[in-house]
Amino acid sequence: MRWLAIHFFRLPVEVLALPAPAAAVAQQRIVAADRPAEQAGIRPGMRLADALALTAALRPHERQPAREHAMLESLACWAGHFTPQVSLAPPDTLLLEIGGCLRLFGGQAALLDAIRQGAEAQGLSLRFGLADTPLAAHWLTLADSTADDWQAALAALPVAVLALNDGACKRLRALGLDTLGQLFALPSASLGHRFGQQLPLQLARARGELADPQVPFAFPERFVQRLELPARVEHADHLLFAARRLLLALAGWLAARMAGISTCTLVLQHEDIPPTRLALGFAALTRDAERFLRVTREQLERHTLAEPVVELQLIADAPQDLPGNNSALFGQQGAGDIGPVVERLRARLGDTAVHGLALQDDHRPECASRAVDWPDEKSAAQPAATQRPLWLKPEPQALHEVAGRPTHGGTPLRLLTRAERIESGWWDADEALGDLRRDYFVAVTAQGNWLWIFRDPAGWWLHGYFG
Amino acid sequence: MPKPVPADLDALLNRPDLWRGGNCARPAGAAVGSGHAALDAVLPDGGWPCGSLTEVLTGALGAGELSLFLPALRQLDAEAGWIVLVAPPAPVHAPAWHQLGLPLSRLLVVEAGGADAAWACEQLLGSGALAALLAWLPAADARSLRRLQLASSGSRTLSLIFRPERVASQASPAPLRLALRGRHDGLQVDILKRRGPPLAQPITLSIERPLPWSRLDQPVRPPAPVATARHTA
Repeated sequence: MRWLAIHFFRLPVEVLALPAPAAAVAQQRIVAADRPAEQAGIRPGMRLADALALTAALRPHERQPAREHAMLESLACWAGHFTPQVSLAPPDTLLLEIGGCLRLFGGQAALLDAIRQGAEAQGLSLRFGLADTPLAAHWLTLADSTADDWQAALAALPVAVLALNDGACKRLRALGLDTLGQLFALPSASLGHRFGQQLPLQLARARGELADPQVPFAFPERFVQRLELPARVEHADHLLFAARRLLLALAGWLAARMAGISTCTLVLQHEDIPPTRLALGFAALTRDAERFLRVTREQLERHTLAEPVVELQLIADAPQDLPGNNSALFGQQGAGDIGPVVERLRARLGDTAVHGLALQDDHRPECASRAVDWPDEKSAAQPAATQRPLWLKPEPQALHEVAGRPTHGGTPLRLLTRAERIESGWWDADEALGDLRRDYFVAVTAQGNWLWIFRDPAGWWLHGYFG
Repeated sequence: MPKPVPADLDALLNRPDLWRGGNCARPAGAAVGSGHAALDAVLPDGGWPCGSLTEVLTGALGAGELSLFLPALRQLDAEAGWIVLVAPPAPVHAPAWHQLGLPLSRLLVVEAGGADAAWACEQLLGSGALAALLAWLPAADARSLRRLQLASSGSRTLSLIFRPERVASQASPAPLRLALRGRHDGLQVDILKRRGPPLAQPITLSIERPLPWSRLDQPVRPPAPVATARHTA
């Protein structure tokens, strides 16, 4: 077991997404300050009045525990991208068991880099703690320690991590006990006698001498997450940053559930008018965050907001099973995946602009070919016995008849075959093409172009080209 | 007395983009056989080049502009990737595609017009998922063709750009340009540009047609009588 604790130490202020410098405040004291405010000397625990004296430009905002908790759950979903075993340590820490997935991400350093980049892309600051027990990992976030020798790092931690009451802290200081290492050296029975039974139990859990089971985070059945925007947004493309948080959480949630989606809905809430629903469609089942972001960007770039947006909501309620891919044994790479580029084309050109073709069991040429969303692996229909033209005009084009022979471009056509009678379709005369009675010929023009023409009681018609 | 060729010159002549006036350039990359020995012999790569643009100038539909490439398209298997048609001049008829031995399961059609079509081609070439790209870009300018040539040079895609005959006099960044013309004894292929000396004579190929070419030599039959009465079995 290898536990990674991620401490989002600025979560109370970062969840508010205020312009810098900003700070979250509870009971007139600073709870968390963003980076510019910290550089100005503002520290958690400071009085609000003192902080404002340091920086008049500071934007204090009342802390919102409910939003922090929702954000932490959303981050737990996102963490599902890295490991299926995630636990919450409220108010601002996640515990991830990463021992089983180091190889997948190419080692510990690569995994930590990926997590750090993912958090920074969402505008979050974090500190890591890495240890073999969850409690030690949690405590080590204070020192932002990912050292391999976690026991030494743990022994060097100050006793403040124990979160004891003021009286106990004073007594520890009076005894000259500053670090956990000094506590570990004392007999646990006497520690329990002086500071309460909880303390030796905690120490034993941190060192791995006592089991410390964690409640795993239950990934929800449906993905419905909302994000309140800090200000009214008037341009659709400004929404992308906020949508990114939701989309990354969605990708992690899908990874943890081994599922993929082919569609999801981004709901833009307005103040006065009913919400706008943007459907995001994907060519094939996916859980790739990059693809989510690309399609969302294309959609938002094309969208004109009717009203400013105050809140985003992302709904994915039809996940389907999507197993992972096996890596090739020797790392060989086949052709790339066409899915992402098809999504990009569809987002810009429209959903029907990219399509496959399928056969349909019908003798009428117009009905024998149909556009499908995505090509099928196998087709049941049997094509006709004689060769059909590669290009079929959507509407037959009338040909002049001169001396009993059809002409094209002013010159007579040479017919090369006997008539092929196609007579079919009496059943859908009212709603579709209807009853046909045609004699088809292969013809060639004076310029050497091969055409597919037919004759019916109304005359000669050009219907296709042998391309 | 001929001067000895300096060693540097030999190294230079090994470059695929440099050749002596009388010879063809060295094959630059992968190629897929055209299925016609007479054509392979005059193409610098010994077949249709994959990884550079081939510009095909055509007149009216029906001369055999797709049939010329059928043998090459059939060689591209599922491993190689998808076959994508961008902005085809008329709807593609699925039964014909199937009858000619090309799989519908790896065919995609992109309907786009004007600048969007060139943009779509560039995106598709960049994806690396294509075995062949067949695009009809009648209005593409030299700049967008150059972008496509760049995008194509990084890929393994057989890239065919179909354009009208009238642009033959315009400059083009495509290393290979052909003009196709239907004839009564085959398809006439005129190589307008290649990495090598110009070709004096166009070549005529007996490409696949729905009927044997010999049928064209037979006398014209009068058309069958018009279908008037309903056929009753």
